[in-house]
Amino acid sequence: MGFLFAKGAVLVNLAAVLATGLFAGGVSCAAVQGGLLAGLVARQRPAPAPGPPDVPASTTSTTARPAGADAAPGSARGRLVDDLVPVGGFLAGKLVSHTLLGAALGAVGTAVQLSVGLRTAAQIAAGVLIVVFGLAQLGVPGFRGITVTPPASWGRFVRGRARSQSVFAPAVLGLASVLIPCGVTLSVEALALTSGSPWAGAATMAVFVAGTAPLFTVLGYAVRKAATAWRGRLATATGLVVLGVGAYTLNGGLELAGSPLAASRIAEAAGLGPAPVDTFAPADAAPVSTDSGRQTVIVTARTGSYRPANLQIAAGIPTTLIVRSAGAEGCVRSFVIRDRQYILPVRGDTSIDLGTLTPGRLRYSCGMGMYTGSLTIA
Amino acid sequence: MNSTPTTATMTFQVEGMHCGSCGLLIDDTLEDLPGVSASTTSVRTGRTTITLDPARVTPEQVITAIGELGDYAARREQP
Repeated sequence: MGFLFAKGAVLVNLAAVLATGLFAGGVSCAAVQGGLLAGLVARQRPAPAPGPPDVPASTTSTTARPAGADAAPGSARGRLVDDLVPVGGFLAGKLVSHTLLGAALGAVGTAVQLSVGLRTAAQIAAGVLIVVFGLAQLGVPGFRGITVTPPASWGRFVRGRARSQSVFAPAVLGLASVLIPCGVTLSVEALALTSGSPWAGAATMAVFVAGTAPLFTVLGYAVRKAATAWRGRLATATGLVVLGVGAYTLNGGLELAGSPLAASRIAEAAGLGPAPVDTFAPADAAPVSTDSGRQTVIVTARTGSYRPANLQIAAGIPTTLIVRSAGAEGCVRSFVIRDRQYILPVRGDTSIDLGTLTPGRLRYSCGMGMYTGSLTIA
Repeated sequence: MNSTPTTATMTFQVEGMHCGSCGLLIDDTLEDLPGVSASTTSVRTGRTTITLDPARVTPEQVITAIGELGDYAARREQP
């Protein structure tokens, strides 16, 4: 189950966030924060003895920072533990601070999401922001110089933690890393802002940080040299992932807004749609029925779809839309029609009075703009 | 008899930085170089300013150290 709910509100697709962390976030965090952590641990460890008393300046001896290279003599297993303990402490600290930030962002996003219209605007803005970060990561002219630079005092604070001799220094550095977000992290923070609740925001950031853990451990620390060698090659892939997440988020906002630039509208314009009027009747009920001068339309909501996707109904008579949840999970539970949101149950009916309709098309979508459908009124 | 250490300030242009963490990593690395007493990197301007002892570290070593961190490219600004 890739989605999460809290208090009936729709949250984000956590599977997509996890994938973003696993790949883009892992590489991005490993390249920079892994270097800071490796430097911290190298400074804390006693210098290997015996050695030359004062080695002339050598970039290779002072900047490579391979984990364990200057560890105290011992078994390979012991060195592995020595290496993994600070990594674990760093990631634990990072998880705590980012989860708290996610909760705060979710709370802020909830406070300002007074209407479907505002949430749509926020989602479009988040999508545009993520796309810009992706273009900057790819080095596209005009975007390459776009960076988010935290205040200098924050930077000094983080560097102070990186040079601490405390045994808790890796964990504190992890906590402080929330002050120096990379573009990928900022993108996920934008998602947390539009996630719908503090719990959703916290889960979004927690899943992202957890996703970064494997690559951070392998690339960012254990094989520091490999991380530097890989970073250049993977920078493009990272940018493409960010761009994809941004486009997906932006399109959801455009679908919600009913924009002609939304993917489904473009597909229609290109002759790929709309979905044909569906006369398929679910096993349990006909999708359209008329009784005592009132028309009743049944749309079935399941995880990942609304069916029938396009129903033809009659104009000029009072109409009730019944959205029948049949194991609906994920963002389909947020049903948006005519700029109004209805939170559907996992199972059961939600009745919506559409009034007397005029000919045309009435579109609806999930709260994230991911799943759409329409009623053709004739 | 020890000679009195001399210090100099050098500025390098750095390309390839994409977030604030890049500047921190560069400063953190350069300040580990023997002879470097302070390093300040601005991601916004793409410059690193270093206070160093020219007798112990050369500009070439600074450029190499920055380059070894990944896809950064540094060159010294002429004083």
